Order: sequence, then structure tokens, then C-alpha cells
Amino acid sequence: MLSIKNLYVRVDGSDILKDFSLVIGSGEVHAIMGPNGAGKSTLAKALSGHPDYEIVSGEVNLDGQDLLALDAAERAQLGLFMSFQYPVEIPGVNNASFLRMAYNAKRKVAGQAEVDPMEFEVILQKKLELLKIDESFLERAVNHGFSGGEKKRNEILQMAILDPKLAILDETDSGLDIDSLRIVAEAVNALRDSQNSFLLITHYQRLLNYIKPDFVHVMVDGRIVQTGPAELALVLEEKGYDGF
Amino acid sequence: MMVSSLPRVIQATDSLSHDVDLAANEKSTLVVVQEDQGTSETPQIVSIVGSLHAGAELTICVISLGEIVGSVLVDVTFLGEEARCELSGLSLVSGKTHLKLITSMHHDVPSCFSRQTFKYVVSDHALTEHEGKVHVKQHAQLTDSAQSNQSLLLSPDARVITRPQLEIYADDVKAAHGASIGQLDSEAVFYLQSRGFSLEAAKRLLLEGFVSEILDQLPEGCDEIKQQVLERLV
Repeated sequence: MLSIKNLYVRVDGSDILKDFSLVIGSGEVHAIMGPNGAGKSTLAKALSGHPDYEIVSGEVNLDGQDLLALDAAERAQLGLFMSFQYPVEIPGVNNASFLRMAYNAKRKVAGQAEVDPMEFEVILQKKLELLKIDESFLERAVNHGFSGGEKKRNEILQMAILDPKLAILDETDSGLDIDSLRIVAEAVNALRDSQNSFLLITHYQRLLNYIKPDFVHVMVDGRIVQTGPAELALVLEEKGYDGF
Repeated sequence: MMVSSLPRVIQATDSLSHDVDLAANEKSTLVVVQEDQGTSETPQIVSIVGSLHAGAELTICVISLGEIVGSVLVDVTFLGEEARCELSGLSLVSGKTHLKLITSMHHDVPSCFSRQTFKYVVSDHALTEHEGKVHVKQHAQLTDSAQSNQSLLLSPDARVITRPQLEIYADDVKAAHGASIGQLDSEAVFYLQSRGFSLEAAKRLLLEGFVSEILDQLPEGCDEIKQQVLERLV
């Protein structure tokens, strides 16, 4: 599914990712944990094609395609999704229309016919039910005036609609109260299947109480320093990152 | 110049001067659209003068599209209490535009309401200037006025000058004003791209969102004008 080899990424002249490598298979859930400044969010932004993140060297393949040769939109159309740590507010753009346009953009690239608003409504309703999201979300402008928790849930709704091959959740748990955390985690579990993969980026073990990863990686100073099973997160919770 | 029944829509191809004198409780809506002047080098002057008696309601929207050299003058005087004026404007200007707006709300009597809401999308070498005035006389207590100017600059040579001016002699009034000038938010562009929108589609969607506040306020029967505006966003 995803293969990252010897990736070096620079931001504002500083090297943040240094010889970063990771392989994620289909149907797998990986968690990356690490202290502030380890480069976790840089990894998410660089993979999703943010123009401020300079790829110095390395290779990234998604389903056999060279991800680094594509711009952010093409990466999304290929099946990459990033849930933002700080989702952006887009005043004046209706959330339902936005979701439909994004859905259709992806279909168009895949050579499929676009769906009209009526057809999309049916698709949307199913996802809202699955994620237990209130219909009032749709009438509002994208993230505009949303609370922190609502923004994160709107990210998950977008993820559900776009049905990515690989979803990167960049600190989706931060800023969420325990109930919102559970709702978001249940949504991720509902969307999980053998064809898609997830990369969870988090500081805290608590998210992993709800979403059980296949692998936990410890990231320090721009690279992975240890990989283990889900239980590694419990060790980190107890001992912190000082030992790395 | 084209004038139709309510709302009154004026397609201003030349200079025009329009007086609106509203009797007590009368309501009127006026939409003025000015588009590219073509080869004409004569500055276009659009002048609207409103007088509002008690309880009257005047809604004015001025839409400026393309390359325009000229001025828009809107001067509204409140002569009777509880009158209301909502003035809005949208300028999508380009080329060598030099557009100057001078808008004035004269609150001569108490308890009147005025709003001035303007959005500018400025590209190429275009320049817009806006002086938005609110004048509140000493006995015009309980005046409720606000003005907001938001501008997006789409090119390095585009310029916007905005000057909100408040002249208030009464002590129990609301008079809000705000202005912002910026570029398209690059994080918002990236956000949309990360959802599969091409760079061009992302920028267009952000612009649509930006202008929607003004377009949504247009009265019924203005679908053609909305279309005209949306076509300009490409």
C-alpha cells in the first residue's frame, strides 16, 4: 500500500525528517507516537503534498505510484487522505456542496460519472448514520464556527465520503473530550476494512484504547527509533519518551 | 441603461445619476451593475442619492465587474425615525481599473439603521479606493450603524485603499467598522487541494465563498446577475 524509503524533508531550512522509512500494508493500522518536535506532523504534511515541505530526497509509493511526483490534489484523487490537526474554516462554502464536489472530483479522475445532488444525498445520509453525525452539519459552511470537536468529526465525515486507500489522522484526538474521542474512534473502526489503511499520529495512548493498531512506531528526531505491537503504546504511556 | 420592475436593476454602461426619495414606510431595492467600459476612456460616474422618511427601507447593491475607471457615489440621508438602509457592494475588478467609491450615511434623526458591506476582489494592476462615511448628528441618538470592507488582492500589483470615517456627535449610538485586506489563504487552498480540488478549482471555490455573503443578500430576480459574477471568478 504505502512505502516510504529514506525520506528527508526540510521545512524553513531545517531538516525535520531524516532518513525516515516505513511500510504500511493493506488493511493495516499503524500508530506513530513521539514527543513534540519529532516530525510527526511534518510527515503528514509532506505525504499529503504541502508546498512548504521540501522533499530533499527519498521515495514514497502509494499503490505502486510515485507519490512525490504528484501535487496535493492528485495525491488525494489517488486515495490519500489527511485529517488535519487544525482543519481550516471556509466561510461561504456550504458543507454538503463541498463534500459533493470533492466526491465528484475523485470520481471524475477515476473515469466514473459524477453524481447529482439527489444521488449524493443518499450516499451522504448513510455516512451520517454510520458516523452518528447530525444533519445540521451539512447546512453550515465548511468548518466555519465549528467547535474543535465538530471540526474533527467533519474531517472524519470527509474521510468517509472520500473513502481513501490510506488515511493519515494527524493528532485527530488532540483537543477532543472523551465522548468526542470515542465517537471519532468508533467512526474510524466502522470505516476500517481489509482494503484500506490508517496511519494514526498521536501523542497519547488513550486514542489507542479505542482504535487498536497493528503496529506502534516511536518517532524521535525525524525517524522511527522503535517499532512494536499495540502494547508498546502502554509502555510509552508509563515510561515516556526519555529513554529514546 | 436597463430598468425593470422590482427589484430595480440598472445595468450602468454610462454615467448615471439616480435619486431615490422614499416616503414614510416605503420600501425600495436598487441593484446597479457596472461592467467593462470597453474602449471608452471617459470616467464612469454612478451617483445615487437617497432620502428616507420615517420607517422607509432602502436596499442598494452596487456590483462592479471587469475593467472600470470611475467613481461610485452613494449618499443617503435619514430624515425620519426608524428608517433603514442596507448598502452593499461587490467589485471584481481587473486590468487598469481605478474605481473610487464614496459612500455616506447621514444620520440626521434618531433611531435609524445603516449597514455598509463591501467586498473587493482585485487583480492585475487594478486599484480600488473606498471612503465609507457615517455621520451622526448630535440628536440622532440610538443610531445603529456598521460598515465592513473586505478585500482580496489576487496579484502583486493590485491595490486597495480603504478609509472608514466616522463622525459622531451623539453619545448613545452603535457605530461599528472593520476592514481587512489580504490574499487567498494558502492554508485554505492546500486544505481544498488535499480533498482533491485542483489548484484552480480550490481558488475558485474560496472566491465563491468570499463573494457569497454579498450574492446571498441580493433580492429575488437577480439570478442573471449572480451568474454574471460567478462567470467572472474563473
